[in-house]
Amino acid sequence: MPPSKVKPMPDFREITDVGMRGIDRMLRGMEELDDLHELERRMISEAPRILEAENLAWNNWAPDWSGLISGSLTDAYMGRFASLLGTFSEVVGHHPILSVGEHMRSHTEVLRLSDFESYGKFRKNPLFREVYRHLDSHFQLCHTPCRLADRLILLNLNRRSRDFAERDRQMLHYLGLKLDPLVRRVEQREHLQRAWNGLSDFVGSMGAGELALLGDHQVRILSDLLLHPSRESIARLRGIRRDTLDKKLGVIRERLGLENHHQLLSALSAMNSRNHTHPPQDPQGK
Amino acid sequence: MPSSLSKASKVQGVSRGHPLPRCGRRGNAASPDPIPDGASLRIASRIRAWGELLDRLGWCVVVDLPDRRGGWVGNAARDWLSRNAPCETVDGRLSPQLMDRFREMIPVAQIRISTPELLVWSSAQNSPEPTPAEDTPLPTLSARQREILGWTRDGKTSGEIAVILGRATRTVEKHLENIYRKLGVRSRSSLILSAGHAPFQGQADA
Repeated sequence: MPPSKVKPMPDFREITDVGMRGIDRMLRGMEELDDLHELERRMISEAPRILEAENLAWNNWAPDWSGLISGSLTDAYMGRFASLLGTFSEVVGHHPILSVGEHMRSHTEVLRLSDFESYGKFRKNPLFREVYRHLDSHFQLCHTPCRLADRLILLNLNRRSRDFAERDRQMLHYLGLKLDPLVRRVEQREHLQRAWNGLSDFVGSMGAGELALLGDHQVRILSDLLLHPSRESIARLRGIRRDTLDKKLGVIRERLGLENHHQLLSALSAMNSRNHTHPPQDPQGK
Repeated sequence: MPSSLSKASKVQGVSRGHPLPRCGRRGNAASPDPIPDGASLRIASRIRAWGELLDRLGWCVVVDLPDRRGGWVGNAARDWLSRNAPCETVDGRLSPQLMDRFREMIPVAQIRISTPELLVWSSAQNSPEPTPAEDTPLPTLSARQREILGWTRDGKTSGEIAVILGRATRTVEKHLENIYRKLGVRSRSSLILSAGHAPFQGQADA
């Protein structure tokens, strides 16, 4: 029988339903966020309580692991870490996981620092002596649950007094699996919002900023006006009565503050690319 | 391999009564894009509607949307690409790399909006000195016809224009008929859409 190519399901045997529900509840509270920074801030403040760690670090790495773009820590650690940032970048290469090139494994599993270097040996590591000792961080778990277009999100948990157990590893893994779709949905929202802001700015730059107030159905009617000057044919095409179309056009005109249909056509004509072959000289210019 | 990890990887975990998160084929970090939620779909629909409108107004629009088709490329942009970069295909998903290639191809002066997700540019060639388009017939209009065209595009009726100019309504309609004939249009709507704001020399103050 050929070996199965199906990846085994991750192990969550050590976690109770209560632990899972705690993570689910926390993430449900973040579902409506529109901003990755806000999500990062909320995670930093809420997750350490559920994961039982003194610190959660949310690190944004370059997609090819070439460098750390930005990162956030729990408030108590942030103050101490700020003064150690320069030193950290010098000695980060001594990290027991990075130094053996095993960080890629953190995409699919949770890595425990003490599995790579015993606590006794880590105490002699320059990274510990220069940075971790001052942070009072002796034990660490790390996981990279999210791969976004412009970054990798690496989560680190730190403790000062006792090492992480299998249960902690599974909790972080579970959190990562649930966090991934949430983070990418927030990224989608950011992405769409940027595209929409770009479009509405562009329409505004042509002196038709109020057009951006229209809904998508109303904009589609305007598109039809450009292709079919006859309102009868538009009504037929959309499967509505001519009166209904006139009423919809009336609502559009009212929203734009226009008096009649020809003014509406004129406003559309003003946005034609033929009339804007030269970029506006000033940001508010027509 | 550390003992605790190797041991863990052998165990198949099931937690009774609790949904487990799904793993992608290459681990969760490589799982497929999540389905956009209602709010995202609404914004995407709005962007697409605006993209279509701008496309029909002659703008080249390329927008990367997180939908099944992976983005939207307007007809004007497709025409531009087929003329200027016939070897480029845009049938697949609009990747950031493809968007970057578009940015390299499009002359900077023609780009109006350029964000990682959105690219709007003018298909018309720019020249250092603004000149009226060669195919525009507007300079052939008389001063009175240009004046009437100006009032028409402001939404005035023939009767209102007649009052403004102190002429009979029938005279204004005759002027309009001549404008229609010269510009090759058959209705006031077509006149406004086709020549409403086109630049022309000697435009009367309106």
